[in-house]
Formats: sequence, structure tokens, C-alpha cells
Amino acid sequence: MFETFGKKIIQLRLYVVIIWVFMIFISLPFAPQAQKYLKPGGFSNENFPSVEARKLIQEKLDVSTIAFDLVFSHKDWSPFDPRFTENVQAALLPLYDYSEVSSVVTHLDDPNRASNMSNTVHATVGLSIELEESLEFLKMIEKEISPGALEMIITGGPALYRDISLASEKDLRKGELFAFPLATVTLLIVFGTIIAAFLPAAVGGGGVILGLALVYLISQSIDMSVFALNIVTLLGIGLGIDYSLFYTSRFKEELMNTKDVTQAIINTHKRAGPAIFFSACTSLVGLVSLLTFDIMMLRSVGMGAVIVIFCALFASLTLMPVLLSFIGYRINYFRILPNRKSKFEFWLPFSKWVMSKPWLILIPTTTILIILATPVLNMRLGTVDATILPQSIESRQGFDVLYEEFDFGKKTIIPVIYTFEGKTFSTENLEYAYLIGKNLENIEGITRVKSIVNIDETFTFEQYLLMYDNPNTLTDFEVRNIVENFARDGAILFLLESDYHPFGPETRNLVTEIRSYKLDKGHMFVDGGPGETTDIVNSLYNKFPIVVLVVVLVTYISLMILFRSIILPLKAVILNILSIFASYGALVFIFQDGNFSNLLNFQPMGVIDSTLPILLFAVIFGLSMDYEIFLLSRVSEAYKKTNNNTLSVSIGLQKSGSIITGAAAILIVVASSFIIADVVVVKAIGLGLAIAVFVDVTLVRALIAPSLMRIAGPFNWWLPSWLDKILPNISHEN
Amino acid sequence: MKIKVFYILLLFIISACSGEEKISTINRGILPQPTPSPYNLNLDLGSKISIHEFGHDNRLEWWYHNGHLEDQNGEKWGFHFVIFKSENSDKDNYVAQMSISDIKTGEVFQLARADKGLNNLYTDNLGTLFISDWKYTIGPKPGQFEINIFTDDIDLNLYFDSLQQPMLHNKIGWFETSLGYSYYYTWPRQKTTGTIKIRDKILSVSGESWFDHQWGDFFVPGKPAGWQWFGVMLDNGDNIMISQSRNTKGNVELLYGTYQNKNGLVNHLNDGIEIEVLDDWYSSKTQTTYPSGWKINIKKMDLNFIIMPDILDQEIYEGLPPTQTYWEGKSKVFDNRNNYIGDAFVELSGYRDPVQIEWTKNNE
Repeated sequence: MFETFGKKIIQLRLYVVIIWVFMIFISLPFAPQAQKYLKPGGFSNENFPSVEARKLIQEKLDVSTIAFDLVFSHKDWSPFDPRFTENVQAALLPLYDYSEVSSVVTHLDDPNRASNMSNTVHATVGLSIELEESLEFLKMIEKEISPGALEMIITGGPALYRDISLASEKDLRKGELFAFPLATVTLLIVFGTIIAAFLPAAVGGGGVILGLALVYLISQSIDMSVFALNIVTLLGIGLGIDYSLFYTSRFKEELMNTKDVTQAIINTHKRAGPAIFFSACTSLVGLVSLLTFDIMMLRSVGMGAVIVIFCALFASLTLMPVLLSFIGYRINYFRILPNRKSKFEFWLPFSKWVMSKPWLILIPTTTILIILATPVLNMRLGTVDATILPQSIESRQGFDVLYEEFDFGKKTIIPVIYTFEGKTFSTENLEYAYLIGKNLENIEGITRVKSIVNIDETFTFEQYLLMYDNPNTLTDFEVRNIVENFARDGAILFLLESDYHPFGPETRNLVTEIRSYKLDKGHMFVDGGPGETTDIVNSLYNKFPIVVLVVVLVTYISLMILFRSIILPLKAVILNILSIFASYGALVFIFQDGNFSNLLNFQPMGVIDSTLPILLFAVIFGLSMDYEIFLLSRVSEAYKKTNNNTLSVSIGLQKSGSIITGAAAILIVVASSFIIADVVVVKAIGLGLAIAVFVDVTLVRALIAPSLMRIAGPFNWWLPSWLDKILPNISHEN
Repeated sequence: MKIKVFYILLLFIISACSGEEKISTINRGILPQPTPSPYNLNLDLGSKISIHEFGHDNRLEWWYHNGHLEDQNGEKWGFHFVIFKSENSDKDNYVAQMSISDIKTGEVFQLARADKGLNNLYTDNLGTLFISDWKYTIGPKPGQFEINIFTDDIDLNLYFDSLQQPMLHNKIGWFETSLGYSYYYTWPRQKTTGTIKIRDKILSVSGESWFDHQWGDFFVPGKPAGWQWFGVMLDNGDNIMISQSRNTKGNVELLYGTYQNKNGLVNHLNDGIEIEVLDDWYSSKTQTTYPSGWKINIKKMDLNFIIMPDILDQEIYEGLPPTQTYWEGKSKVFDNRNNYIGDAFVELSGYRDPVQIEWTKNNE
């Protein structure tokens, strides 16, 4: 099939080139705008209980959940100095003209908004619009806010989301800026000639341009997260170049053998085509699994990755052969590195050495992998906050001020809305709310509860009854404030405080405990970061084991069909999982615990964003399997010829070692280009991927895999005859 | 066998996914912290009282001064200065108010400031509270205080030194109502010296002032709840505090008083006090009617006197939400034969109509 396809491509090469030039031409204006329609966030889901709680809070209590903060400061004037307050009031004055602004709360309304540590205050501007509209509104309004003699920083939800989008875009540019040159240099090292090096980069780049343009088009009709763009681009560049590298490498080999350009291309298509196709398919198995999750961000990565991998595959199997047919022998022109006599000279003795003492290699390397994976035991899943942004960005600086001087984020706030029938201040409803308040106060880990029935821990229910006999008579400013903002007929808001990490597992346990209350009347819903984090983690990790099981089973069965063995696929999936765990371990060690945080320029997250392990699993499982297929297909090919297990492993490594190393090196440099990203999540994905691939091609493919195959001996190729009969037969060649 | 292993694995995964669902029920037996046993402030009288002059860890607290002053020209002035501290949030909130009554012209000048008391300083015997640009000093000796207010229009710089022992109200300086409990003591007669500035004129003043300090875990509802409070300094050196509190139904819940003679002997007046309102005054500014003029009968002391405000409009609203508007005014005390026998300050709270909370407005 691939042979015929290769022949057709060569026959129609002019049309193919024209079509590609046309597609690239059409795509060029759209690809750089891929971000335009991507949505900020994408970590939540409309069906989450926390989202229901948020809607209830908005509907029942008229509380805006979209707000930005203005941080004002002055070197000398204290916050309550009339000069300070006049400047704050003047700065905020234009806001009152906009219907989008639902509330403005300053330190004059709430003295807690004045810092204990410096002459700094913050004002919160509540908005009655959705997050996406708020970004535009902020852009417009910020020009009108003049702080006069005060310093001002804008932060809070819309500002942070705006800056995350901007930082993501900047990261993408930076990543691309480094990824392509570094990948080209790696290709130069692999091929030694300029044309051979630039061709895969160009074809890979073409695939990425087409892929990003398609992402742009699709994002206009389907919600996609801005966070997906970097990962999608990373995969597009890395895999696009990898596929082209495999193709070019085989073409050079075939050209050497056939001395005929057209025949070399047909042979390459016949032999490397299926491997590239299978490689793309195995990558897709993991990435397609992302489409099953309820989180838009993961679905976006899945969707984007499917698009770019398909484009990369399409480019390597159509554009690449056509370009090679024009270039022909010129592929070896402009040599800048000396021609190595035999690229197999390292791998053959190396594989023999490994297999001469398999246990001696297997035990320490497996131990190293296990040590690398050990931090996984302390993995704390959660979600991340504004600290994913670098400290140089204004909204992050504002967030830091709110954190340091106003305890934002230091105390975890868990909003709980209690809904019921009837009047809030009826004796019956008030008493039940009072009981709920007392129960919430007594949950271990809750340090304080704020609500209309948690004003003071010494107050009895009878006192509350007196207090709310006529709520209009309340004189206490803060109690009035709580009544006005925390209650309506049919709904009471409880704000729970805890010292636990806002997105850590302990807080999720609190949320679960609160949700577990069986009420005699009414319902309780948990919102806020903790509620949402709980929903995200539950949603992801209720499904994740099933996804893992399905992906592993599909991969196992595919490999079993491909290699006619039940041991080799088992070894492959186990080693893949080991690579993934090593990468998880590194993530915990670096991003959760903060090791190398200065070197890598980030603030430790304290938790691992719950999407990261899933993303990495989806990406790494497919990639590792790529390399496994390239290795095993060569080994299997040799075994069929020699029927000698040890020799076939040596030949397999000999023939695939360089290409796997080259492909992996490219992916490592592309992934590493994203380590310089400003957004920590992107940095973590880049590093996690680079580490996983590095571990995979060094410890796993070069050392553990041959040792295990040597130890397993003929059992590697054992397949019960009844199974052999029922499995479909697919030939493979690389 | 293989099938069994598969099912065991599957069951393990499914159980790992689902987890056991916990159900909690509302515990009806959780009660609030009991009201703490009161300190016996009696034991702290004398030098130890200073430990109570500073702030406490309670929901509400206030330091309150009023006084009757005379300038170098013999003109009479009244003033009041109060700092409210509320502890609803983690951080204390402070509101300070002051008013100066010009008895000659009938004008009342008032200002307010808010702060968090972040720059407050405390040593063993000296406390300095900063409410924005206002400074208030407690100490260094018990019963000594200082107010320093400099603004563009009005200055108030007064120094207070107590001439008599503090009065503990309700016997031990503590009382409890349905609205909570409160500690309460008074330095009833303080020698006061200093300056005031009104309309760019700086005047040296002197006279006698009254100081109240109250703190506790209680709440203060508005009309019909509220109080009438009288701080009386008779010319013979005797001091009387009378407080009449209304509950949320508007009924008198607590009426008590403390009588201290010039030698410091205290008589607690827990019954037998009658207050008759003689007139009222309507504030067109806030559409509020206040009592104005009182006839007070203390049966236990066989004492009758009349209190009449020096100025009718001594309503205080600056810096406070409308619900907290009150009347605070310098007044004169007369005997039954209408002879002037002393000065008083009167405080009337809970008279302004409630301001509806936002959501009850929406519900209408």
C-alpha cells in the first residue's frame, strides 16, 4: 500500500508541490493568529458542582465572581492620610460611569484592604460581565484610571488571565525561536550536510504552519484553551521533524543501495512509511485519550495534537518524498561535518557489551529509574494559581503584593452556599443555618467561618434571633456588610477559612467532607478554588485509570499483532510506564518541591497541576512507544532472518540506535526550548517531556531493553499458536 | 485463573476510582463558647487599672471622652471624642469621631477618621493610637490621656489627668444583656487643658472631662434598640452615670446607674431610677426625632434633677454609616427649683429610622 502511495506521489509530484505551496500560502496569515480565538483558562467544566455553586452565588446573591484589583501605594503617605484617600477616590471615579462595573470596594469601605506592612491598599472592582469580556473591558478602562501621586498595579482575575495569554504567546515565540535552530543544529550533527539537515526542519515547519492554521480555524467554532497552543506547537515541531528525519535517513540509506532517486523514494515509502504511520498512530492513541476528559484544556491539547500530528504525518509522507525527488543526490551536498565511516560502530559493540552482562546492567539501571520515580510517592495533585506567571509581569507583582501584604492565598477560602426554601430570617431557617455554621466551624482544618450566623463564636442562637429580628436595624457596619453580601431569602453564603494549601489534597478532603453533609432541608454547594480543584481532580482522576488501562491495552494488543509476541509488548508497556514515572518523579522533585527553582527561574508550585501527569502520560506513552517500535521492528526483522535472539537485538540496536538517538535528541532540544517559557506549566511540560525522552533513549532503550531481551531469550518471541491464528497479520518494515 | 486475575485487577482499579462515599449529618449538639467569667475589675483598681486602658481582644471596644471647657475669653465649649474599635475581621477596624460645640454661637463642628490602628504603639504603661492623622495617647499613668488632632479647619489638642478614682459600673465593671456582655468603667472627672482651633483661631481651653472605656462581645442594633446615656458632673464634685438600654423590641431592658461622691465612694443604682422625657427635637437633616430634656429621679439617693441640652442640634453623623447616627451633646443640670447644679453629656442612640439593607430593598 505504501509502495503504491509512494509511486503515486512521485507521479503527481508537481501537483503535490503546488497543493502544498497553496496550503502553506493560505495558512501563513492564519498560523500566527492561532491564539486569537483560544479561550483563557479551560480548566473547568460547566457541569462541575463548583460551577453550579458559582452560578447560584451569582444568581442568588448578586455577587460578582469576576473582579480585578487595583493595588495603590505611596512611599510616605499612610493609607488613611487624606491625600492618599483622595488620590484613590479620584483614580476610581471613572469606573462608576460603566455599567459593567457592579461594585467598587476600597479600604475606606473595608479597612482590611489597607496593608499592615506598608503604605499599600487594594481596591476590588467587581464586574457584571463574563471573563472573556472582562479582558477587553480591562484593556479599555485601564487607560482611564489615573492614580495621581500613587503607584498603581492592576491584578486579579482578568488581568492575570490577560497576562497568562500574553505570556503564553511570548513563550510560544521564544520556544519557536529556539526550537527550530536547535533542532536544525541537531539535524546537522545527525546528517552532517546542510540540505539533509534543513529539509526535515522545513518539512516539519510546513506541517506546523498548516496545523496551527487548522487550529485557528477550528477554534472559531469549538472552544479551545490558550494553554494548549504551546504544547501543540511543541509536539508539532518535535514530531514533524522526527518523522521527516526518519524519512530522510531511510532515503539516504536506500539511495546508497539503489543509486536511483525514484526507486529510493519508493523503497523509503514502502519501508519507512509504515513505521512513520505506526509511530504517528501510537502517538495518537495516547493523545486521542485526552479528548475523553471533561476539561477543555486537555481536550484542546488532544484536538490540537491530533491536528498537528496528522499534518506532520501528511507532510512527511507527501511533501518530503516530493522534495527529495527534486533534491535527489543533492541531499548530501554542503557537508559541514566529516562523514562517519559507519554509524553502527558504536551501537554494535555497545549492545554486545550490554547483553554480555544483562543482570549487571538491568539491576542498577532499573534501580536508578526507581530512584528517579520515588518522589512520585509524595506527589500532591492540585491546580495552580498566578504563580505560574513570572514575577516580572505586573499582574503577578500585584498578586504577590496581595499575597504578602493581604494574605491572599495564604488563607484558603472555601465558599459554601446553602440554599433553602423560605425567608432567611425565619426562626426555623435561621436556626438550621446556625447549626450548619456551627458544624462547619467544627470541621477539623477549618480555622474560621464567616456568615450571617458566624459573626462571633460567643453569640448564641437566641442572640442571632434578636440581631436579625429586623435586619434593617443592624448598625454594625461589618455585620450589615455580611448580611447584604452573604444572604438573600433562600440562600446563605458561608466563607470558610483554612490554613491548608488552597489546591492541595487536604483542602480537597475538606471540600469532600462539606459536600458529604446530608441536610434535613436545603442543599449545600462548594465553590471557589478549592471546590473547583476538587472537581477537576475528581473528574480527571476518576477517568485517568480507565484511560491508562485502555491506552495500555490498545498499545499492548497493537504491539502483539505487530511483533507476534506476548512478552515483548509487555516489556514495552512496562518500560514505558517506568519512563513516565521517572518523568513524574522529576516533576515532583523540581516543580512541586522547588529544587533547581533558581536555576530554572520559577516559584515552586507546592502541588503538581493535576493536568500535567495526564498530559505527560498521553504524550510520553506514544513517543516512547515510537522508539520502541523503531527498535523492535529492526530486532524483529533481524530475528526473522537469523532466528538468534541475542544477535537480532544487536542488529536491531545497530540499525535503529542512531536514528532513535537522533530523533530523541531533536525532541529533547525542542522540548527543552520550552523550559525557558515564562508560564511555569509550559516549562514543566517541556522539562517533563525532555527528561522522559532522555531517560527513555538512554536508560530504557539502550540498557534495560536489551538486557531484558537477553534475559528473556527465546521467550521474547513466544506467542501461543491459538493466539497466532486469531491475530491479524500485519507485516512491518523499517 | 487468568480471568480471575483480570477481574481482581479490574476491581482494584474500579474501587480506586470510586472510593467510599462518606455521609455526614448535622450535629445539633454544638454550642457556642460560654460567656467567659468576668474579670473583677475591682481587684485591678489603682495602678493595675492601666492594664485595662489599652485595647482588648473583643468584638467591640470604645474609648470615649466628653468635656466642658472654657477658653481664655470665658467662652464655653463642649467636646466629645471617641474611638470605636471593632474586631469583626482578623484585623481591627478603628473609627474615630470628634465634635466641638460652640455654646455661644450654637454651632457644632465634627470630623471623623478611619484606620486599622496599624501604627499603634504600646509599652508597659503607654499606648499610642493613630487613627489616620489623629493621635491618641493612653498613659503614662492610669487616668491620663492626650488627644492630638490637627486638621486644616479644626484642631483639638487636649491633655487629661484624672482627679478622682475610676468608677466601675454595675458593681464589678461588667454587665450582660440579651445582646451580649460588656466591661465598663469611667474616669469621671478629669482635669483638662489644651487648645482648640476653630476658624483659624487658636484658643487655650481648660475644664473637666469624662472618660468611658467599654469593651466586650456584644452587638449594637439600631432603632428601636438603643440607649439614653447620661454622664453628670455636679458642681459639688459628685458624679453620676445613668444608662437606659432598649432591646430589639424597643422595650427597656436595662436601667442602671453609678453614683460616686467627691470622695470616691460609689453607690450602685440598680433600681429606682426614673427618666422622664420633657421634650423632643427633630433633625431635618436625618429626619430623626430625639428626646430633648429629661427629668431624672433617683429614689435611692432621693435625688431629682433636670438635664437640658445646651444646643439642640448636637447630632453626630460624620464618618459613620447612617444606621449609626446618634446625638451626643453638652447639657446643663438643674435642680427642681431650676438652679444650675452642674454639667452633663447626654448620648442618644437608636433613634434614626433603619436604613434598609440592599437586598430587602430589592425584595420589595
